[in-house]
Amino acid sequence: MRKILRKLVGKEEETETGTDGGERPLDPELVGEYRTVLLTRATDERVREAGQDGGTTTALLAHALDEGHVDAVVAAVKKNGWKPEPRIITDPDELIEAAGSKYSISPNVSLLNEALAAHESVAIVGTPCQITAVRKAQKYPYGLPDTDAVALTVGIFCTENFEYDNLLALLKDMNVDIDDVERMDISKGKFIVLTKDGEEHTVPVKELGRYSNEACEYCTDFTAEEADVSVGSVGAPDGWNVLIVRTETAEELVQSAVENDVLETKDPEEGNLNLVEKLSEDKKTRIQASKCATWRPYHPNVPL
Amino acid sequence: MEIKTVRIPTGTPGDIHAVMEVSDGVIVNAEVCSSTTPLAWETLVLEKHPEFAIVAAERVCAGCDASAGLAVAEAIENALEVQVPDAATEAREALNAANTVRSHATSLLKSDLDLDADALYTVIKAAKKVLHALGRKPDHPPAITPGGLELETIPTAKVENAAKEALETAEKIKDDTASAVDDLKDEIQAEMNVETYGEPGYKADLTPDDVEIVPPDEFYRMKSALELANNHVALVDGNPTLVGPQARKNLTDHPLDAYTAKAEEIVESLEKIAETSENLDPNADVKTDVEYTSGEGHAAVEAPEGTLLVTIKLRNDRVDEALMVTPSNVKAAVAGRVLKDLEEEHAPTVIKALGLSGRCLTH
Amino acid sequence: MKIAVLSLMACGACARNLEEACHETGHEIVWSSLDGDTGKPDADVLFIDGAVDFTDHETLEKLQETTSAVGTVVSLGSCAATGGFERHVIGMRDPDRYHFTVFPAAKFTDTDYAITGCPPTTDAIAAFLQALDERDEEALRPYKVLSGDYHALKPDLPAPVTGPELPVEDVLLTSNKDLCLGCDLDVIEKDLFCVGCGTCSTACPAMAIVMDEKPVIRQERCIRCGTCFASCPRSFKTTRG
Repeated sequence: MRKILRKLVGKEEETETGTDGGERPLDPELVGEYRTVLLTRATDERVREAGQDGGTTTALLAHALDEGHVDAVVAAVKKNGWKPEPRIITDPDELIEAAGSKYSISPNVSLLNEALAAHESVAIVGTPCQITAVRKAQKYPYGLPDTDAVALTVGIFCTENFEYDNLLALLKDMNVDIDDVERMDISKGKFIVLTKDGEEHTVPVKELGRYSNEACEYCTDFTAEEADVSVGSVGAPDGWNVLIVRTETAEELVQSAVENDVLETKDPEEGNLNLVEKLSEDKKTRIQASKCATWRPYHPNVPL
Repeated sequence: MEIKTVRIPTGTPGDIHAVMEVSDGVIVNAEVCSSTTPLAWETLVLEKHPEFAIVAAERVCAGCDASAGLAVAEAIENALEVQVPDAATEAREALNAANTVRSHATSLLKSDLDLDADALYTVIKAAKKVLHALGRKPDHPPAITPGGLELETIPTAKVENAAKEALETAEKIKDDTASAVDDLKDEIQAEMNVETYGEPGYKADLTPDDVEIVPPDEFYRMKSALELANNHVALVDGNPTLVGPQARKNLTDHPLDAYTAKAEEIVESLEKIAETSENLDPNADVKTDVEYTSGEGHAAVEAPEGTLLVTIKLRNDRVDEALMVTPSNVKAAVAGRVLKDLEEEHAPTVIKALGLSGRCLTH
Repeated sequence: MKIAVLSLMACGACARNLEEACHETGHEIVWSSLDGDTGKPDADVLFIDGAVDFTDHETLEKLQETTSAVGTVVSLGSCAATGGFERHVIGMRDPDRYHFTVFPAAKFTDTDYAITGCPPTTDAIAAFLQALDERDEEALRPYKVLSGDYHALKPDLPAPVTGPELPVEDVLLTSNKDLCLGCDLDVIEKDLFCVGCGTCSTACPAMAIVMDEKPVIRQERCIRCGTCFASCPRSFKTTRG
């Protein structure tokens, strides 16, 4: 594994050798099991521009389609007014439409059956809860046939998600019209909305709670711990992504993407990976303060 | 002379019984009926939404599930005078063919022929792929809906590959079946002298006017059969008639030719699927909007085990009246005649070959 | 393992998928009522498929006799486990002529495990067979809980909720015990456990669920099988790996 890391990191090899061979950059207790952590971005500037930060997800999936690693990708595309919608994508160029984060619910897994019905191997991009759902479907495939054909799961770091109406309400409270939004981002503890006139509107993440989807309060998974590979921007320098590679297949794919000059990499030391750990930990402890902690089943013998 | 009632395991759900008058080990007279508790499809869909009638029909019997759903959908469309896009009809035809492949292969597995199970499962896998691709699930395909199929695009490439890859195995099954049937024919001497109905293809032109449905107490003459029977039987043009693969392939010399016909239909169905998917545009429109009004319509489909007729009367978006004539309903009338003059011990093998399901009979 | 199949009021799809799964995984079906076997099966596991009419004494006796002979009993598919499609049949008969009261087989006999689905996919049955063969208690737990006697459950009150899943036992207390979003969507959604992933919609064997951020049930297509609930990532926890 270290060998592959060296190969991936390339010229940074020297800094990796010797000194801290046993030290792992991230605590698996917090971010789940993984093989390697990298800082990456798309080599193609066009992809980077369309993407949220480094465009890693888009570039990696386009590479997977190009190489025939998968036949189709299930991802969320942006419709009018920033409303996301899941779509099955087979053309790498079409992936650009799916690039960038959308801050409301896109039921990506709802298209998985259709994708599996039509294709021999499928990749799915999703939030941590969606990746958990796919893994559950693979282990208990009650109604979903051919789940073995899910060849790649790409998880996106996620603190919380919004129902579309609540996103509109949030923007309204920020005095922003959804049609004027150029870009949305969660970065450095803030929800940042950039409008078309170049202005930046921000809200601290802490205040998002009342707008977010309630089920997110109970979620303990920040980094999509069950994905083949998880991508996010937290802890990465501007314009870069943190890439947590968890399985062998994903590792091979990332490696081939680097070799084919689709992704460029950087030494993880240049980022601030502590932030990933911190947000993971926050999410794992948040549940204790949520409504969930007081949730009880209804039962005739138990007063409400 | 002795009257015997034998429960005949057919490998399909439900209980099939043969009531036989036996003399010196030879069947002189016989009646075949089912004691299975009726599902009562016709009653349970009343006052429900037409879509439920499709979903429910697919759960009558796993053998012909997709075909039953298709027949109901087509009957609803005829009642509403909806024109289904051509591509949808083609895709449905392929779906029906895939259902035929799966049903026949399963039936051959359960036969007394001792065929290569691996080969049959290879073919079943291919059929399941097609059912999944065109019907969105390999069992009880739910994409069947009034107005067409609920598909965004038609996965023609996957369908075509699946069908073509299985063809070679299907050819082998066909040869193996033919020789196995010939061997078994030497053992079981039988003749069939029956009327038949059915042509190769997807839709059949059977109408409710051609069919007479007889309640059990009017059809069965033997006391034991009368006591057991929970099923109606259907006569075509007033006669007990054979439907299904044998009738469609015109192979009616011997009851065991049902297997020969099934094996041949597996090959032909796979060819049909490959051909259809080759010509289909993946992006063709396969669904028209349906507006629920009142009306009455009927449709007949060549289901794996035989012609399946559905009549449905709609009152806006509710089912007002429904009627289903299943392949087993029709075949039950003829099954007694097929047993005649047969040695008693061969009755189970022959009834099994006819492809009766108790659940189908008492839908 | 040696496997026995008892098929009752059913369409046969569950049993067919079981046969396919057995062929794939190399387990042998030694006894099957579909193939005419009667009496007490000599098998390791018995799968019951379908519903039972409670006025049909002959079938009930057959059910008792068969289940008493086998150590592990599994209700295969929703008709056997929770009622599923056959629930629609209740009261649908002409009482003069036929029986008219149909319930899931699991109501009449103790079952150890239940596999939800209409029908459960071949993969689902294969996964269960593997877990059973390896005696993987953790993997088997959901099947076990879903076959349980829901009415006997009592809530474990002091236990705080520590994960994102709504424990299935708690749902059983909350819901109308059919564990089907067509009946029980509230349990997942109104209790605020729905993340809007779309798994219920993708798993539904009748395409009865459309997603508008959260699931919307098309009641006219719902067959009450409960596949949606069992597939929901929030209904029970799965072990990793």
